[in-house]
Amino acid sequence: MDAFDFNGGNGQITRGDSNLENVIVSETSEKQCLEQEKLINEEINGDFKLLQIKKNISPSTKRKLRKFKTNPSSTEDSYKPLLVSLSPKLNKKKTSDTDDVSSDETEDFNGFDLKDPEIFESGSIILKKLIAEEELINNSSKRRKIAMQPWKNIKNSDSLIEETDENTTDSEDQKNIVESDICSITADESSLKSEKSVNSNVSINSNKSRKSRSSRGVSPGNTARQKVSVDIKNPVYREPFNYGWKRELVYRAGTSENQTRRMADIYYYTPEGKKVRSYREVIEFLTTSKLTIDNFTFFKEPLGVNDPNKEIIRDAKKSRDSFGNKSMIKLGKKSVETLPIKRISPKKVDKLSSPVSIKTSPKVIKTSASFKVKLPTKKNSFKKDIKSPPTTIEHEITSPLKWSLPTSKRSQQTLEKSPPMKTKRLTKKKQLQPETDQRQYFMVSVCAGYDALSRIFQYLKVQELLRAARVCRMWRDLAAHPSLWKTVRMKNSQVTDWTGLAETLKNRGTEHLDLRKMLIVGEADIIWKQFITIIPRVTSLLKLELCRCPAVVVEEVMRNCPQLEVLSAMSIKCDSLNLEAMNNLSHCSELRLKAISGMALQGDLTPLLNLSKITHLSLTSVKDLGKKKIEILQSLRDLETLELGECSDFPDKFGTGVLIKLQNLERLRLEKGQGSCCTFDILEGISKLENLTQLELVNFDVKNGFDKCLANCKKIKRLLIIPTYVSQSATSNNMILGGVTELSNNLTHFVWGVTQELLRVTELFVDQCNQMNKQITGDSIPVLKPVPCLKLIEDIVGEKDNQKDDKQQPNISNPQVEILPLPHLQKLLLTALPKTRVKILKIPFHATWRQSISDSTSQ
Amino acid sequence: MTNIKLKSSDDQVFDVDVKVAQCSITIKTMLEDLGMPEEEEDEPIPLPNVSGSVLKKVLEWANYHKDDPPINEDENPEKRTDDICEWDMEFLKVDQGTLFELILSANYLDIKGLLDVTCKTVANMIKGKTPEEIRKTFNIKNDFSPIEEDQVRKENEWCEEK
Repeated sequence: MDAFDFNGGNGQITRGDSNLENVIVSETSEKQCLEQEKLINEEINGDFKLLQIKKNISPSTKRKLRKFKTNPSSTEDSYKPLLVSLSPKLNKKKTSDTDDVSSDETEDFNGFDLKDPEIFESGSIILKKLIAEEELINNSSKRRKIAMQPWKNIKNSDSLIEETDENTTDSEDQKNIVESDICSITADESSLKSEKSVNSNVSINSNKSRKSRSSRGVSPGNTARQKVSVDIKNPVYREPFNYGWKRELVYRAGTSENQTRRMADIYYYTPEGKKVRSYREVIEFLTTSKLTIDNFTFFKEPLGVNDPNKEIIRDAKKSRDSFGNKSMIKLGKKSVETLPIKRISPKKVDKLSSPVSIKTSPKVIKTSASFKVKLPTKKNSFKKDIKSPPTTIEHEITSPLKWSLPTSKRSQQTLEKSPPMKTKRLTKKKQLQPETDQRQYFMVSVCAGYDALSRIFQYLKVQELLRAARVCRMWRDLAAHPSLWKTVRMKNSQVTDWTGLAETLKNRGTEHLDLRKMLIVGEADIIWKQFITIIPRVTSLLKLELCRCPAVVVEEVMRNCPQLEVLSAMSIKCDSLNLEAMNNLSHCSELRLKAISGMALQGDLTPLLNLSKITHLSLTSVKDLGKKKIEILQSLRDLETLELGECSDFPDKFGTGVLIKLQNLERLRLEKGQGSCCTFDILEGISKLENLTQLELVNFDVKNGFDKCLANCKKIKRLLIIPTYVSQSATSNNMILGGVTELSNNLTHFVWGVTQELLRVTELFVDQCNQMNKQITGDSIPVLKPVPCLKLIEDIVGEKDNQKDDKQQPNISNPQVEILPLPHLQKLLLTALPKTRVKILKIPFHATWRQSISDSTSQ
Repeated sequence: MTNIKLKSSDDQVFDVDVKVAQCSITIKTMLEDLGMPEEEEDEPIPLPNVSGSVLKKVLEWANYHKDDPPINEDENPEKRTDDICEWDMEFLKVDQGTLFELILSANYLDIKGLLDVTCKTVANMIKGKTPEEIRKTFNIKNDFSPIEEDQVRKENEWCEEK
């Protein structure tokens, strides 16, 4: 513990922990011991040497030491003979027998912990003896302090407690540590103006040790008087600047500026820019023999060089300095950390200083003391307190010390409470701060770079990713990341080696292979043969989208890739497809099959019954679908999406008998319902599907009565209708208008597909009517009169009519049909369906099959 | 409109419209958590990961795009790189160092739009190049041993672009 006293007085909080372990757990690692031995041998400074040794002294050893120290004369001795006489354990230590020391210490400590009654007993005997001695010492120490008055500028009475009590027991010591922690803050806050160099600090310690502890500060050339007289302006302290060192004085945040002496922290920056906080660290970075530890001071006042390149003086909060970004970050964080300490300190003083002052005699209070405060040092010691078993303290403390226990506990609580005392803003800001340590900053950069590059790679297509993998090792590894391979799209790419593809996809765990628009160069049959061979190897594959391929590919995939959940083959090149292999696809939830130019199914739809998990089914371009046991579909109760075609030969009761059973259905698309198609029955079934919100009717005959059936489908939100326009086009349009305008409440999207064929026919018709006097131009459709909702756009149409009355006699020649230009139609629909996004498609008949709501609405 | 102050790593303070600053989800979340800064509270929000010059660019971008609709991410969209708007194209005509700093800042500040467009820009620099050309573009050292290079070539040449 004493070793910490030697530190600069700040910033050891993190570092201290490991040292604490040495004392508390007493399991000093061999390495540490050796390191310390090495330091001792270096004999940089007599004090330091001793301190390093003391670090490893077990509690019991210390006890003995103290006992011994009650003899004041020992201060005058050199420490070495003293230690030799003190304890054989110390001798061991001095002979570098570190293992032994460690084990000894452990034993001692266990004894302390009541586990070994014998040792405990001896411990308490020592304790009693020490307590008995205490009063004597107290008296003498007080006397001594008073005697020191001429050179020791004692102002803070509380601080004396530490000295007076330190010579009792370890448990007593623990209490004192808590106190001294408090005292230290008090001392800082009360702005002692006395000369406070570290050296004076050392001297005081030596003074203390005269009474209680080992012979700190007694080493040659380190007598108290010498050190105290050292001036902060001493040029010795400016030496480090000549070797590239920098000193920094940071006034703690929140300390009022008009206080004469503000709380501050001292740091040194090594020539390499490393920030150090204590003598101990300074020593580690002393590379030149021209500098010694004596050139450094952690005295919390500026050296007064007035050169920011040498000494930086700043406030922790408003951190401005010349060290660039990284140090700025550090300092910013530091300022956040220091605030809570400041805030809790008054509390601690309030609570704790009073019992302390009771113990101190009035004389001492008035005595001014130059008491060097080492806040973090004590903090470390205090941590030790928390770690040591509380039971021990309770058993060992005897009556004179009892008051200290609740005190220390209270201060513990105060300390523990301190984190929540940070304001919310501060806490948050701290989170925003990056890790401040250089090494951590490096890792932050690496991680950010990794993240950035993997994001960039997401935009690369397969072949680009493969090329990127050949750039360097890092790119290779990053380009192989499974997240980049989850979906593999082969659009505009050509596979030259299917085995290579299979290996890669398998290794990278590809789940989705999209072959749409893949380039097929050369003999397609050979390529597909290879594909069929390798695709079962990619066992990770769950979703497969095929491009234009023969039926055999689909059949083989169904047979050999039973793990597939989604299979989509929307451009099968075949006349007929065998669905038998579908039996294997028991995991399949989505199946989409469509042939480029229509296909016949071998067998019927029975294999669909095995697809127990299917939610999306699309079977279009299938000839005679109605004759393939279409009623099987009613068993697929989980279906959410259903697309069927061709529908012309569906059984009469398909709507009310089959569709109506699919109550989970949300989207329905029906293609090619012509001739005797049971359209009205289908619409009736649809009107009873509670969840169905999307309906697409492509190439359906729209006949008289359709309007009323459609008007019943009140649940529909998105509707696409492309009528066949083979005959009675004017009627069809009338029906659609009449039906759809009844759905104004729910409809959000309405797409009306008008074939270009119809537009052309209408144009011809208008030409005929208009003859020479061509009034109606542009795309128009015929609508059977009376046009539903026409009154909504009367203002526009009315004007036209007036004109027509004058000039357009030919148009009257066909009184049954209104020629409605598309802009008018659009206007009419928008007025009648105010909540709906309306779109009128002009498409050639052959493209009707490709239209769908999602495509149209996203355009 | 309320303004807030942002402080870059090199201590440049930017006075920014809150709406612009909130393009950064990081800042937005922070403001939501902490409440809007009070009038008298002049303390700028420190952004220790972003230098002043880059923060200036970021804010320029955010100011132009502050009214953009939020990007809705489809489940599995095909990632395109040919949809960078003209303003962004012009805006991103910067040196590689700046471009990468913009990416890192966009990442740190959580500005999705800027992150997307900067990554797309870099992706476009990779596209259509041979490995050697890529190395030259980004000044990357080829650290493959001859054996490794051969192996990685074999493993990665099963696909060709038209």
